[in-house]
Order: sequence, then structure tokens, then C-alpha cells
Amino acid sequence: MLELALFITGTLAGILGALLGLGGGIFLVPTLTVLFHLPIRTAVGASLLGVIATSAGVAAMARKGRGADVRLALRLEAASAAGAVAGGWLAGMISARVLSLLFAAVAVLSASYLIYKGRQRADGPAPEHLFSRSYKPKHWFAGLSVASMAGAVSGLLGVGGGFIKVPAMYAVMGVPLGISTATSNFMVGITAAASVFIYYGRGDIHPAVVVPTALGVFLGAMLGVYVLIRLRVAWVRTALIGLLILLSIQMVVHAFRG
Amino acid sequence: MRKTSLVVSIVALALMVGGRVQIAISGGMPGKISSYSVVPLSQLVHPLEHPLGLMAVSAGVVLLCLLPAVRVVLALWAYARQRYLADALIALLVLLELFLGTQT
Repeated sequence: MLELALFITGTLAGILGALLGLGGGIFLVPTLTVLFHLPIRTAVGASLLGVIATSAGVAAMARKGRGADVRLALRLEAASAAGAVAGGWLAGMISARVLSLLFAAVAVLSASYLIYKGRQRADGPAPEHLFSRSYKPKHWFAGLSVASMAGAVSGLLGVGGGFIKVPAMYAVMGVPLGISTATSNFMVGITAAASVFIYYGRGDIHPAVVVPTALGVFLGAMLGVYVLIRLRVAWVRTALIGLLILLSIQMVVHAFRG
Repeated sequence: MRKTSLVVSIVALALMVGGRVQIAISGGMPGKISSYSVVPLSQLVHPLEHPLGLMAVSAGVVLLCLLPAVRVVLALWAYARQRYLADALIALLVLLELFLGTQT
């Protein structure tokens, strides 16, 4: 019964992860620790595998012109993967409470920046498209800096770092939101793979947790891609902001209740 | 890349689910849900030393974890063939960083 619940959780995380370009880890870590009372490192291990499953599910469903910008993804990933390896090392030395609080802080920062940029774009002259191909990524230095930070957070918290990468690509580098989410999903898989073996080696990957979760996430991600191409920019952005705020509150509560 | 992702994911998930079912049938995995871990990487080459189900789950997990690297290799191959050397070098750098991740 518990594994069925994990499968359903994984499916929901996969749908949301694919829709918002977050990999699903940001939903899995709090849910597995708060609802399923799993140790945070077990949750992080399952979550990293879930992030890779989301990335795989999204890639398997990608359509021409609506997929990831692979060139952009690899350039940002070069910075991000280095940060992920450093983060994976640091995770073994930092307490669970500090990890939870760090998670909450990063989520709040990302949400605030998205609200600010959303207001700016709403006042703009042209309507926004999810998958416009007429763009050229700008502010590369800022983008690469944020990507390496996202990688470190990923290694520390077991999330793909997409909740930092999507706002960075969309709001800082000027990449359309749909392309940003698809590119982020490509990247988060790579970032997660850079640190998942650290958790594997430490014995934090438990079959009874990861099998139903990964299966659910993969199927959910495929469904998420199907839904994404039918949505509007404002809906995706609002959903992203709402979830980031909710998750940060949840993790703060979890940190102080132990 | 799309087809590769689909095939590798399905094989990995089939191994994981099949292994989990085999563990359940053989009455394994006692105690808490998080008390049973996958086979360490160094012992994956000795399949007879561990229960079959656990080996299958572990192999599936490792295969799924390797998928992002496979996708980077495919991108590297495509860039190298088209002589986009800068992009090929960046893909190679990402691959090296992934390799470093598995060594830590």
C-alpha cells in the first residue's frame, strides 16, 4: 500500500516536474520526508533518481520545435555539473535542518524573481509565447553563474536545480518559458546524474522507495509534456510561483519541527 | 536521442520493477521500507553474491542513472560529426564532470 502511495506521489511529481521544468525533485523531497517520514538522505536519493526519470520521460515525449535547446543546455550544464559535484560532497557534512532551511530560502528567492519578471513582461508590448523560436540567449555570464549555483544546490538538496535554472533562463537570459522548461528538464537529468552516484555509494538508494517513485515519475513526466503544449505562459508561471512559495513554507515548518 | 531515451528508460524501469517483484515473491526486504539498500557499484560485477531481485533493481537504477551520460555522448557525437568543435568540447567537458561525479 505504501508503495502504491509512493507511485502516485511520483506520478504527480513527474507531471508537475515536466510542466514546470523542475525535474520533480522539489516536490519529492518535502513529500517523502513530511508525508512518508523517510530520512532526508533516503528522500534525496529517491528524488535524484526521480529527477533523472523526469528528464528521460520528457525527452521521450519531445516534439520538433518544442524540445530542449541542447546547445544552451550543455553550455549551462558545464557550469552546473561542477557545482553539483561540490554540493554532493557538502551534503554529508551539513545537518538535515540546515538543508531544509536552505531549500526554503532558494525557493523563496526564485519565486520572488519570477513575480518581479512576470510583472515586467505583463507590461510589455508583445504577447508572450511558450515555444517561440525567435530568441537569442543573452546575459551569458549571469546565466552561467546562476547555473553553477543551481548545480551546488542540486547536489546538496537532491533536486534537479530546475527551480533556479528555469527562472534564470526565462527571466535573465530571455529564453521563452516553454523552451526554458524543456531545456531545464534536459539539464536537471545531467545535474542529478552527477551527484546520484554519491548517494548510491553511501547506501541511500532503497529499492522499496525508488522503484515505485521512479516508475510513477517517468509516466507522470510523459503525461506532463502532453499537457504542457496546451497551456498558456501566465498559467505555467503562476503555478510555478505558487508551488515554490508553498514548498518553502512546508520546509521551514519541517526544519523547526524536526 | 528521443528513441534512445525511451528504450533505455523502459529497459531500466523493467529491470527495477521486475527485481522488486522478485524480491517481494521471495519474501525479502524485511523491516522498515528504508532499511534495504541497493548492491554497491563495486559488487555489481559479482551477480551470484546477491539475491537476483536486488541485483536486477540495482542494475536498473545504474542504467537509469547512466541515461543522461548517454544523451550527452549522443550530442557529442552529433556535434563532432558536424564539426561544431566548440560545442563538441563543451559536451566533452560535461561528460568529464559526470564521470568525476561517479568517482567521488
